[in-house]
Amino acid sequence: MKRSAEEIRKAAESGDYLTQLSAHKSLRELLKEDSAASGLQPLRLAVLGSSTTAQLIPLLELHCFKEGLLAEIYESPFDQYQQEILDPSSRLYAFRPQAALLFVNYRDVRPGPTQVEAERWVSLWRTLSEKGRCFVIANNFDLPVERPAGSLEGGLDQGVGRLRRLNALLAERTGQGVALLDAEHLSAMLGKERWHDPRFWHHSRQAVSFEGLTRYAAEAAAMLRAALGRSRKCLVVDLDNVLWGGIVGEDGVAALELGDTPRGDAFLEFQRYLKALKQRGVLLAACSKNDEANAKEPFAKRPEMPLRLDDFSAFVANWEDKATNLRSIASSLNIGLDALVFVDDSAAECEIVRRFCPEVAVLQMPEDPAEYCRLLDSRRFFETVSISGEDASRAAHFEAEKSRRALESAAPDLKSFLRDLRMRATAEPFKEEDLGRIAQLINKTNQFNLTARRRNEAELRALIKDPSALTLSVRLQDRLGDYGLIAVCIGLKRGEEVEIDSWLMSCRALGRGVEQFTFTRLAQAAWEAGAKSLLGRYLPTPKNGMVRDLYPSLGFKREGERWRLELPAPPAEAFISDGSAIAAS
Amino acid sequence: MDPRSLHHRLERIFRTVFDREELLLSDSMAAKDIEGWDSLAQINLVVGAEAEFGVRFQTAEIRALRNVGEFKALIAKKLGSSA
Repeated sequence: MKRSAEEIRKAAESGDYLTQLSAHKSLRELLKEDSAASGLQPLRLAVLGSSTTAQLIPLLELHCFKEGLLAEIYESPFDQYQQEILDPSSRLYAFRPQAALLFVNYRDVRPGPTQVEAERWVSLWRTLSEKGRCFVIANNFDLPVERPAGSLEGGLDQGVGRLRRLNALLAERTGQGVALLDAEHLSAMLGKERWHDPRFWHHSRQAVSFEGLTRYAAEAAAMLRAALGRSRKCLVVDLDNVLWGGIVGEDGVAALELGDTPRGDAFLEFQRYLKALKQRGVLLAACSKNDEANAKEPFAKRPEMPLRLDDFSAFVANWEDKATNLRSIASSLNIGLDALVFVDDSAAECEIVRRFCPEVAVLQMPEDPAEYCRLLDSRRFFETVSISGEDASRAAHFEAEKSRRALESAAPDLKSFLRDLRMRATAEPFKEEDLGRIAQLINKTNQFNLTARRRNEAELRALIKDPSALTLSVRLQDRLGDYGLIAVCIGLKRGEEVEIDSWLMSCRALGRGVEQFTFTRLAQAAWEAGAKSLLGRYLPTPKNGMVRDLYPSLGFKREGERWRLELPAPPAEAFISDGSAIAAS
Repeated sequence: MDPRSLHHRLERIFRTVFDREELLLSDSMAAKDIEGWDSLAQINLVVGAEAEFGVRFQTAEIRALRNVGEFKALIAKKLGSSA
């Protein structure tokens, strides 16, 4: 049957198994036209199955197309996945896949200690990932319907109990180019009695029902899209009858359905789902035909709403058409239109966006708000399989900072707050490999910087060899994150005095007791070098007012332009005012 | 039970499975008469018929159904016994 690309995508989204197979045939026809593949990202995909994959392959091609990928698939022979993975000269590796999908099921799990079995799978994944130099998607194990030991089995090291433990172990071992497709969840969503069809297993080793396979292919394709970095990034929502029931400009903010009725409760639930999306990194934007003041009013006057105005990275309420507004949202966020998902309850608005911004994924909300969360979730727009190192640390830093603030507000006082963070600081003399970071700190730090003396890497390198230089680079981590190298101190020994030539600290580490720690370590180093006193200088700059009184606060006595602290005895850790805050090592 | 209706509904399934919109079913048609009626297509026909008619085939029947007349008779029988 001849179908347009749009019809094929629709069949992939909502058709049953036979419709999808038929759509796949249409896709094959469509792709014979040269232009059909334009705009699709080519993907060389290897599919390795322990069971029959004949039906899975066309479904994968179809769902990849739906996700904007043009899949060229290598189908490993039936149940040859282990041999192919282990043999470096296998056809699998000759194919040079960019991604490999390991389609296995609970029957492939071997007896023995669960930990050992988990290691066996992890080792297969790693081998595949390293030898194939490809992204690996492996599924976890779909628990069967039958439980010989009944509910008791959940607590036993057999049957579903063991599979659950195995799945938990496997989930901890993903990352570094391996993602776990949650087949267990897919099977539960569909219903295990529909996911598993023993007749087709006996007939031709079909491990998953065909209905189940369509779900599996959709999940795999969304993960592949994510692995190629093409996940959607931003959800643009309409406001009236999407975030709340009613029209704020007409009904007034007090009359909006929010929580007080069953329908209103569903709107709140949808807002909570959006909030969860936002918290895991999806950008939210609002796009509403409204006066801006009206559109913003509910955020100010309906405190029961989980979403606040600052949850939105872009907020557009005007009377322009939404296609224009989506373009301006995309450009203001510096992302492409193909990173947007647009959600609206109006068929007309959805149609306009489909027509004028075909790159945007459009989802029309159904009549009943109770369906909103599930519908949006089912489309897997924001699937992610891995986070790049930089993104991960940025996201992690962001989260850690939020947790720190949460702790700070919950903690009764600073001391217990610091103790709760379980900070760990280390100080060591400068090392060659740290010089880049040290130079960066020395040359960029303006606020916590006693002398603001700048040095380049070569000058710092010379200090390493200089026996009269006492150098310290300080690292800090706590249970929420790793700050890295955050403070630098340079002391120069002259006779029985050590003068603190430079002392600076990144503002990220302020208020953590690091200054005490650094000072103690320098004093110890000075004592060990035979010094009897420390000399400090504060050279004022327009920005370093915060350390004006640092030396007196540490017990130094003024001596003209300088500050002096006698070291009558070996400095103890007691120099740290809150000894419990930093575990030094 | 209108057998024509069953015939047409089954024909639609065959058309979908074999992707041939012009396909006309006759009771005498067997696997060898329709290009592509292999074991894979067989499964797809069974799955399609189960969804369309709300019946369930037994494991042995999945393999045995190799001509249109038998297919229809079996569906009719299952519909009759479940009615």
